[in-house]
Amino acid sequence: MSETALASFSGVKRHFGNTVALRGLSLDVVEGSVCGLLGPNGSGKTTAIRILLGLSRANAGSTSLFGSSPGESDFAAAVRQTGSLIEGPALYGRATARQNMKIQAAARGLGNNSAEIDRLLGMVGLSGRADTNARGFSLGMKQRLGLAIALLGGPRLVILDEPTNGLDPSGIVEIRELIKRLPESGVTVLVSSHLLAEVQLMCDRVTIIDRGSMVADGTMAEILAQAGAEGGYRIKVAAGEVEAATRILSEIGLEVMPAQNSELAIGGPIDDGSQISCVLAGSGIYVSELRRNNPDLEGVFLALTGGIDGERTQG
Amino acid sequence: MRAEFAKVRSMPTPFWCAFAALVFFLGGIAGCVIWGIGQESAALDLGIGIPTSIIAIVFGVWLFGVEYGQNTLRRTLTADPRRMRLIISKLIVLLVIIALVTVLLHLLAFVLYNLAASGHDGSLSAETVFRYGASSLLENVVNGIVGMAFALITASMAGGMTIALVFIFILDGIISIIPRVGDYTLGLAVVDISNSILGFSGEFFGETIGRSWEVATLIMIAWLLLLMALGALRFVRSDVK
Repeated sequence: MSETALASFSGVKRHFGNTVALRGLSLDVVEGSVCGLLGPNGSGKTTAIRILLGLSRANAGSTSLFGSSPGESDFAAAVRQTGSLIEGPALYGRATARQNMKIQAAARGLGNNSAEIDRLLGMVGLSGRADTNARGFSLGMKQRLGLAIALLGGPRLVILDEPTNGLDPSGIVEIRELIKRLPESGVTVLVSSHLLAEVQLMCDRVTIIDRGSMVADGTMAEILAQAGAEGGYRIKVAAGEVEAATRILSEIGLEVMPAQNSELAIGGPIDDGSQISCVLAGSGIYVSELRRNNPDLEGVFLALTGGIDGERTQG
Repeated sequence: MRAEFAKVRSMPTPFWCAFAALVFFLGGIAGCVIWGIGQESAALDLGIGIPTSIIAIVFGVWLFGVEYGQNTLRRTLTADPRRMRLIISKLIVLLVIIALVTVLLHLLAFVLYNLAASGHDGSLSAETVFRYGASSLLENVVNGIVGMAFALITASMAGGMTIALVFIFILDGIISIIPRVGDYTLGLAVVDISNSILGFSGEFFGETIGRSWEVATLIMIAWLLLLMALGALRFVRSDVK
């Protein structure tokens, strides 16, 4: 994977009156990745994206999109290589889905593009509603149309702000799969979300921001390791054997914590779960359940941000 | 600019503006059949001039108001972030469409109004239609630009419409009664230029009123530049929601 940053933030600060939205945010969006921008509501994700696209101004710091900053002569060319869906799809409600796409195609300076419009409408499952006014669409359909509009003209970078908002479960899966496939066609994706599972399933890199600052950044594996979210194992033994199992496993250097229902949480240097069952079986204790604790982003996120608090900052 | 014309083609407001202009134009034909052209070419004023001057305000406000009303400005500016260029594109669309509609209606009126009024005395000469068309074009362009400027200044469809109508029909009149200052209102400047185009005398009961068209034109341009500059300043410097 190339390590070229298509978009970057450097010490970006933004406040709205006394409310601080961004406190010196710095991050890079690496080419070829699906990068997740994760943070609680109000952590500054949307404000950061707006500043990157020139819709808002930073009070300090700088942003770069394809090497260009807002106000520079080649910024328009950089924006034209970027598709975006920010805070909902922003549609002309009294125009049809197809007309909405034609308007955007014209605004992006694309030529005759009926075939591409049809292809994209089909890709997001709106072929049958192409000539329906967008105001009659459900939120999920509007979101799909917004995504199709973001992909017009084959952008190199796609920025999606909460792209699965309003979608039903099957719609969420479809859009997630679609987003995951985008790098195959050379598209880099920046997805902002407050949905931990979504980011974990969709992204290969993640940046966690909280109160306008970056608190973690890296590949998913790096992030999970960063907050000590190593997996470990859980085993279940007979109720009368919990103490003995705890002693035996502790003696071989493992960290053992009793849990509910005759379960033990086990950490430490374990290469394979079979080691645990093998040692215990040698002492006549037979494990009835053994499972690996899958580390998840939720634990990391809560550890890094101190929980979800939606009313702290704007953006 | 292609996108702006595409919006005009796709949205209902321009359609209803065109529909309203057509209805009034057809009303003018009916009026010609019943009463003839009327004094001082009243059919042109009632069938085209007055209706299109109000429609021009609505259309001028709509061009930016629709973006604010439907929150689509962020989409427009993420396709092309050059805000001044967007203002110029919309301004050109405004001028082109107003010019096309005004000229077309007056050309049609020359043929159809004369035909409809053939049973009555009096007809529209080519020169009369030309003068009224030019005067109407001027007023429509001014009203359209004022509408667009107030949509930008208020960053709102409803706000722009309200303030533009209040400015043109009330505030401008109030300013005109203020001694000295009142001589420099936009409305009076447009009236002076229109009178000059229509060939009306600047005398009222033997007393000369109004200014030369050159001075009036300067005043008009100054007003339009001031309003558009205020609107552009707000648009260029503001965060886009």
